[in-house]
Amino acid sequence: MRTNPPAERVADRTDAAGSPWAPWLGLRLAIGFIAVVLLVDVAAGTHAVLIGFLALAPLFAAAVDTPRRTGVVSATAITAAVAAGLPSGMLGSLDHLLRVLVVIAVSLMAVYVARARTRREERLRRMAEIVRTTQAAILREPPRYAAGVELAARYVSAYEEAGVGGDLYEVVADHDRLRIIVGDVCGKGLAAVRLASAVTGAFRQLAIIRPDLVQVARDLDALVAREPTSARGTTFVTAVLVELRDGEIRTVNCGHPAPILRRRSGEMTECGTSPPDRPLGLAGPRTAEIGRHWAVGDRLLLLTDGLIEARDGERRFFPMDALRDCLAEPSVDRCLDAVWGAVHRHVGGEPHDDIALLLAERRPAVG
Amino acid sequence: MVGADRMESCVALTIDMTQQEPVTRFRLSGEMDVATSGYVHDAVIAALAIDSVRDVTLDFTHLTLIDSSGMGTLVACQRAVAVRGGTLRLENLAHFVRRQLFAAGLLGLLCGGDDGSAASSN
Repeated sequence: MRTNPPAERVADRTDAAGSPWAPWLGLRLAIGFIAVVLLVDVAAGTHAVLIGFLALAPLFAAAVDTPRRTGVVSATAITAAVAAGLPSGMLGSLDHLLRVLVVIAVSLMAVYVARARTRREERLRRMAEIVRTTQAAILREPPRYAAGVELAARYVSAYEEAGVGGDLYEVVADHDRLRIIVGDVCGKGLAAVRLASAVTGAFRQLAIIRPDLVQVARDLDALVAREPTSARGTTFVTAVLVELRDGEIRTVNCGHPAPILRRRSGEMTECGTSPPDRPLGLAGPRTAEIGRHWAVGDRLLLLTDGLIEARDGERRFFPMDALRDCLAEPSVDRCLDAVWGAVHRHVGGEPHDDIALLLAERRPAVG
Repeated sequence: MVGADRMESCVALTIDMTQQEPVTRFRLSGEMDVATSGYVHDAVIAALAIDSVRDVTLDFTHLTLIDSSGMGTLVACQRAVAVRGGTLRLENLAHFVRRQLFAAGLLGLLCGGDDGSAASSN
């Protein structure tokens, strides 16, 4: 498994922000506002009546910028408030003094608000990082090659804390048979990661000991059903189980986006029963799709709904047609890089939800 | 008793409630996702706390999106209504929402019937 590296993450955010000086925008706008207030005050000859408006600049900085830059804006606003008394000769008068005191009081409050805001954001970032690290730890890198199949996987974690956690995949090779699960726990955060870990752990065991893929799904169904339910929802896991053996694909789809089979010729089809079974944890029948043949060079993409529901600035979903070109790349690794690049371009930065991708390609038999 | 109430849970979802015993009806407008679906759950549970309420109808005419958290909430609401001996009914599913529930294998569970044909739609 490969995750998007931190360096790439930082670069992405800079690109998304639009320009390198974007972080300084709050400071520039606040200072500009102070200059405008001063100019209007002097030009209109209002005798420092407008200097109360100077307090808005530190408040604006507190909402969007760091405590240090908010402090700079506050100091500038206070200096400007004092200086505004000079042209009109009001400097030192009780009226002027009271207005300056208001600017000072609001400026100090703005610095405090900026500190509180950035600390809270830092706490959220740290929590998201913990969930992200835990998630990455439970997702093991699949073998590069097993049972005549070449494999690659990517896990792209959500940038926003609310979107992190719950996607899972696991690959179990047993002689000439390969079994794969890709799923998504309903819910976010550490609780979702915990359940994802339980499901992948159980799948590793069941994929070996259960001869029938449908029985694996039933056992996982019972496992998830035993989980405690959350206060405002239900615990379930959407998942697709795949068995690759002797050039045949069998799937059991438990309410998950269907795997996409890309033939060597370029033709693309979805694999899965219609309608899909319920998600794991909600009981109901489990059915396997009748095996379909895949030839050497054919590729099978398993994904989570984070890809389908990735939206751009105008809230349009990721166009699945874009996968056609991505899956035509010369290697499975480059295919997944291309998919991630396409999602990144579409969203214009980091995705709001986790995305797990696993790509399998049938290779010629060795020997 | 006929009553009406409106909960502006957040900008992404508006919940309008009308009550006509023994059915409470919620009209949802917007998106039901991880940020908003908890409000739907709370509204349904609060309605069930009224003695006369047994059945709950969710009108999805103006619901444009539902994610997995929203679907989990619907299943939880259905269970809560069933405990009261009532029925949760989904009405006027937009094509996209219907397709999302179908793809998640939940259309039959939430709308009755294997293919969800029992649910009324636009």
